[in-house]
Amino acid sequence: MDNKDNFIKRIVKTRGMGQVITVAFGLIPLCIVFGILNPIFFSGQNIGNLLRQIAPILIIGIGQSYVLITGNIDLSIGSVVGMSCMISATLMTKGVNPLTAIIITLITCLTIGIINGTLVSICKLPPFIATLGTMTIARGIAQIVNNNYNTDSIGEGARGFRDFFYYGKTIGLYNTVWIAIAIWVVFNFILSKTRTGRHIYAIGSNIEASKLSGVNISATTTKAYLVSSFCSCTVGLIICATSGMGTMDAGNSYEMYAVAASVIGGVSTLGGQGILLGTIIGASIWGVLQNGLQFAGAPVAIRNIVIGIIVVVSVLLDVVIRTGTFRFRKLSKP
Amino acid sequence: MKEEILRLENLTQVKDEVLLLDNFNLHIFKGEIMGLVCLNDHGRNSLMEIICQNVPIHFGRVYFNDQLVNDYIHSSMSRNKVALIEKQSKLVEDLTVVDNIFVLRRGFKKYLINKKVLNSQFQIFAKELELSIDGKEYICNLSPFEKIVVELLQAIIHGVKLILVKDISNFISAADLKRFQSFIQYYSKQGYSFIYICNHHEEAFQICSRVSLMENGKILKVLNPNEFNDAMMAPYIAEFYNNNLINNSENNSKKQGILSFEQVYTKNFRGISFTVQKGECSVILDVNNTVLTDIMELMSREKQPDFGKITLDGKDYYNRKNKSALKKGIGFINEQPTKSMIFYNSSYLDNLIFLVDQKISHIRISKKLKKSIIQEYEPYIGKDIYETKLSSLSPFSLYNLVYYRLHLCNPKIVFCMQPFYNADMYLRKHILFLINELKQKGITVILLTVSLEDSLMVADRVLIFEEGRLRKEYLKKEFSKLEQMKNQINSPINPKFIPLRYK
Repeated sequence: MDNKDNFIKRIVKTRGMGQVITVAFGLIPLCIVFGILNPIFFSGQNIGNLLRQIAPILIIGIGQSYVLITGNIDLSIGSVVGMSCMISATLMTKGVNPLTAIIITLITCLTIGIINGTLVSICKLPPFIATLGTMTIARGIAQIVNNNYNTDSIGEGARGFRDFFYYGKTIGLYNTVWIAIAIWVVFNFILSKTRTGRHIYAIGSNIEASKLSGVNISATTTKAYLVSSFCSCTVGLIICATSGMGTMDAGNSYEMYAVAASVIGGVSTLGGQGILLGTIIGASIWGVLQNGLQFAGAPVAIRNIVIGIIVVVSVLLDVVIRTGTFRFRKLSKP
Repeated sequence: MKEEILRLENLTQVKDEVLLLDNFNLHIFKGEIMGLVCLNDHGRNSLMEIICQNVPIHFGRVYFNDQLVNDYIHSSMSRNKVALIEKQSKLVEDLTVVDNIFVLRRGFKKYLINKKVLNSQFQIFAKELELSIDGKEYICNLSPFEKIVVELLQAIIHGVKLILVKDISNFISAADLKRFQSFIQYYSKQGYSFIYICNHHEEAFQICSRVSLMENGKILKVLNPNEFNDAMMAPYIAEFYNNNLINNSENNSKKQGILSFEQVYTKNFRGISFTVQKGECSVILDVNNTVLTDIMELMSREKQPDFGKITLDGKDYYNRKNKSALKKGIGFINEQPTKSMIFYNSSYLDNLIFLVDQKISHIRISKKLKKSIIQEYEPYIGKDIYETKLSSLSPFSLYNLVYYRLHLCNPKIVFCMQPFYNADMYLRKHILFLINELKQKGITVILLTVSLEDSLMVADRVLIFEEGRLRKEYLKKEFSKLEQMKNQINSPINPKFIPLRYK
């Protein structure tokens, strides 16, 4: 019993867990409200779809969380998603084997990650500007790769590819969800249990102290951007599998969804804080809101406004949890 | 034969045509605690930089561990095995103690981190010092004392040969200082060398094996233990104690309470009640360094008490009328105000009138008013009042700006957080003068501090806080008791460690 208590205590004491628990408690009433508004919300089919909807947001959220924890930001996520979708689809329509297409796409996307990391850590460009530049470059590549046209259908030859990334099911769950789970497990392990993870937290928290401690700042920053590009590439492939073709505007605004998932889940925009468990909750809130509001018949504009408000409220919550109090609380009488 | 760790030979450093170090000579042996008492801070930071890293120097040689590591011909820019412990922590706040000590270490090869193993290794060191710090605790949850202890252990475990300890008495309590000094002595006996940098010779005399007096980038004298007395120091510090400028008015008989705390509870306050009299200078000495930040937050209205009442001039301080602390008559001077309270992009005059424009109802301050302010304050400040580039001014002038800004604003009470922090002897004397100027104007001054040292020279009353409670109050006539207490604290350290109260 004591061990169990200690385990729970240890879990609760983990840095960033406070906000995760708070946000998780926010997710429950949200689900209940949408369930009451439309009982289909809780149907097995909708839950399956909901999880499949959450998976890509979780994957890009993981990438963005890595970058945010280092104290930087990656605005190129959405464009890399688009680039990945277009490159893989173009190659497959040209008859390239899906596996080869995936490898070529992955290499191209990781190159963008290396460029981001180099610009930020070695060339000392502000991450906002550097990734804004690569965002435009990646979107340009997405457009140029098929001469400014969306691709044709990737065809029946890529059936296996589409099943692997989107339509197939394993043990009752869509493969997209399994991919998200696998990516989360691997990157959560790296972030919480390895030296690289500690270095990522260290440079986000105190870059000077990290330098003095011998942490390789540029290598660590580049690793974070590589994770982000890898995640974006995976989401691009999922989108390609979903639509069965390459669309030039794939991944539009995804960088904002990634920031929303991370920030709602308690990753600090100032760096050094946050856990990937929070990103799951953040992505879930985003998915539940999208799905629930859709069932409730809310137009897209309203959905965007609601998500914007949720992001602001979660950052406010972060501040309240960190300072332990509201700034203008009423005076309690003795 | 004594083993030499550091030797600075004829070290001369010039930056921006300013001579920072002038033929500086210093040698430190293995296991030695060398005190460095700086009468002014000229060249102090430059000296620390040269000891830590082999940066280009103008003239001279630096030997570290019997090897020539830096001279005027060639500087490698490499770092020496030196650690610097100061207020600004070098630890990563969002990682745990063991992560900081073991994982963030050059040469840490293991990729997977086993916290249990690291914690058990840390506990071996903690046990040695009778510490009860949990290795899995995050740095941000540690007290300032615990942080510097972790930094000390980090330095020891990282294998540094020389540890610079800078001005630690400014941010840890007297009890913690004594305990930390005992750790320094413990490790010096194990062969680690220390340079103990401070502004008060009394502090250095308690712990050091030799003490060097530094002024204007030069060593004036190296004192051996048999010379550790005030008589030896007198020629160097006479000017400081010649306090003609300090006018401690005694006519406090008709003073009335202006600020009162009634059973105030916060996270760190445990039912504190006290009253501050109008026009007096009170010193709040926090033995554990836990309540000072709370006081600042309460008075700046960032926070409100969980229980209890704070009244200013008999009225509830948190009533809705006039939300700004300044409009209620409360002014603040932060720790190291020249860094945190000056707008370097504005002119001296704009800085000086910064608080006035919040008090007056006009949209902009008229030229006439500015002229009259210049007329009134030029005799105090001098020609610097016309200065537009503040970065070129001396610390004295910048302190003038901070204090006269409040003098001009004329609040009822001014809270000064650690006013003498990081100030050399001459600057401390000037700060005392400025505090006295505020008092002369009838402004109540409250000094928030963790060490008494210079505060008694302007204080009318001392309130001692310990563990969130008001332990004792001393009026001016009882200050001799305080001096005795100070001497007791300053007595040689018991080699047996004092048990930790923290956990």
